[in-house]
Amino acid sequence: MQEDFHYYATYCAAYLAGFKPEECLDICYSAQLVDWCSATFLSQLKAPAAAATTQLQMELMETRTDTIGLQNITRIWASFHFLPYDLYAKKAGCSKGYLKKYRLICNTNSDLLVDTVNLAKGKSLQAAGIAMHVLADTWAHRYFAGTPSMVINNTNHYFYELIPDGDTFTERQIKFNHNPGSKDDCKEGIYTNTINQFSENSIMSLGHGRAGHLPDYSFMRYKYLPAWGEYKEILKDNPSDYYNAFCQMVYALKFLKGTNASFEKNMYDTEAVAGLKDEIMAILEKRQMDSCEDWKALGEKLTGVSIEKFDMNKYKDEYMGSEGEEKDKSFLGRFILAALAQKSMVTERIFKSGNRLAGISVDYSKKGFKGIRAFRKLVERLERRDES
Amino acid sequence: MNLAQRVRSLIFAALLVLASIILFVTADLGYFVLVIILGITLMVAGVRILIYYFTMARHMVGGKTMLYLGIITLDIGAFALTIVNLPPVFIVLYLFLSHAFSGAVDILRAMEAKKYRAAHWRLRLTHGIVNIAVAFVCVMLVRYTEVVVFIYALGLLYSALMNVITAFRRTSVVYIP
Repeated sequence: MQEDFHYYATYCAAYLAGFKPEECLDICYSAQLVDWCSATFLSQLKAPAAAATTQLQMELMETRTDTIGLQNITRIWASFHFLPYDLYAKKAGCSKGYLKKYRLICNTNSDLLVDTVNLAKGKSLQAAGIAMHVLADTWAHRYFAGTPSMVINNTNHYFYELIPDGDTFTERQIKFNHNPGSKDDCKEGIYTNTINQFSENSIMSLGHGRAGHLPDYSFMRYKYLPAWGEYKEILKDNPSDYYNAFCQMVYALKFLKGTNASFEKNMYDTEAVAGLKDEIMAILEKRQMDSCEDWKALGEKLTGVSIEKFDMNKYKDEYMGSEGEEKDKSFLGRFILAALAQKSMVTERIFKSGNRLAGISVDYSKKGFKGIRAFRKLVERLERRDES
Repeated sequence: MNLAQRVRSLIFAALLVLASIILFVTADLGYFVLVIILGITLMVAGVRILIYYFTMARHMVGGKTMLYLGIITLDIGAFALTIVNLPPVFIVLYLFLSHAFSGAVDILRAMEAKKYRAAHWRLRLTHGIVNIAVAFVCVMLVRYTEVVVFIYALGLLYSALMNVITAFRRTSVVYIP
């Protein structure tokens, strides 16, 4: 998903869930920041790199795909963009190595999604924003895994777009090129994807790289053969999936606000969205690479308040100008704490399932503090809570 | 990383150091040793790809490609070992491409880091320039085989150092239930 959904659509969902416009802005800003908070951005703030929620193209290119490099990549992409569906999934006749990758395939309505939303409950608006990013991405990125893997994420020439044609659809084979500088062309059906390097752990096989940006366009409907699917075709209907994502966000945000008592799987607040369904579906199905203007207009119509553009440097000075505990209470400080907590939780769940692709998790209640120093911030937060 | 992975990383570093020492000590025979190392590396890679096919890629759509790739790589490795007088240009070409590519990536990365006003961009840029310079030194000194062998040996030492650093890095993540 892109800025149109993570920023503007999340703003609309938060408002429908009952948040005030200024709170909606904090939530959607945090949801969008997940796509910008790289190690490079954090180094600019002199903040811990372990809190990174994404990796820039160049960061990925220079990342060593040794054990540590792969664990770092998996922690970031599985925690924030490709939440694993079933960490105990079974597939007959497969090696353990294969299963470890297979179990990281992302899909909607997983146990980990419930854990993610519950983790954000009672925390900051930044935590809510991060949870909404993760939730929305489970719909866009389903069937791909947040770890480099050719056997899971690879695609081949069998890739067709389904273009609406009256009451039916016309099929058109998608042409992929590998030039990262070229723009996608939805009129001609030419899109950019990563090149296959015939290597299991190549970063070219991370997430949906081999399918290009197709999962991120709300209007896109396509069918293809996923590498893991035993030659069974998958049909991806983005407009429908994105609408479900929107309704699920409203439901989740109502839980975070305290309106709903619990967050359960397969629940969508279609009632709150019903009056807007036609308008939302029109935006989702419009063949355009960027729906920001349409979503922005809808958000402003709903709240009557102008929505400012996303600016990744908006809170930089506040963070850099504060010291000690105040830093953690700043906007970016809260975001960093929420990001560390989400990464720590997902890593623990993956590790507990016997899978070390995201690294080793240490239970603080049993072994005290060990490992990457940046996560000490979580312990400090716990100590501050105990004191108060 | 668990203990076994750390130990494996250290053993691999020791092997790399040993290989680089052999190259330094036998500089006159260095070229011959270098070809043997490259040949063995290719054969090991071929075997690893075949193992990868039988344990993982056979479940993948189009996975048979990996079977063919494994056989071809293994074959090329065995072929390299049979050629005593491999023309130096192949080794130089290999060194040139690997250093030039790393250098280009470092420089692009430095430019991106500078754009985002991130720290350490100058260090990255220096790293990239040094890599590009080494690539051109390889081409310019193609006649002086000892120098090319030394450059390759230094590359092995650098990899060994990275493995040692990796073995001692903190990698676990704390979880507060």
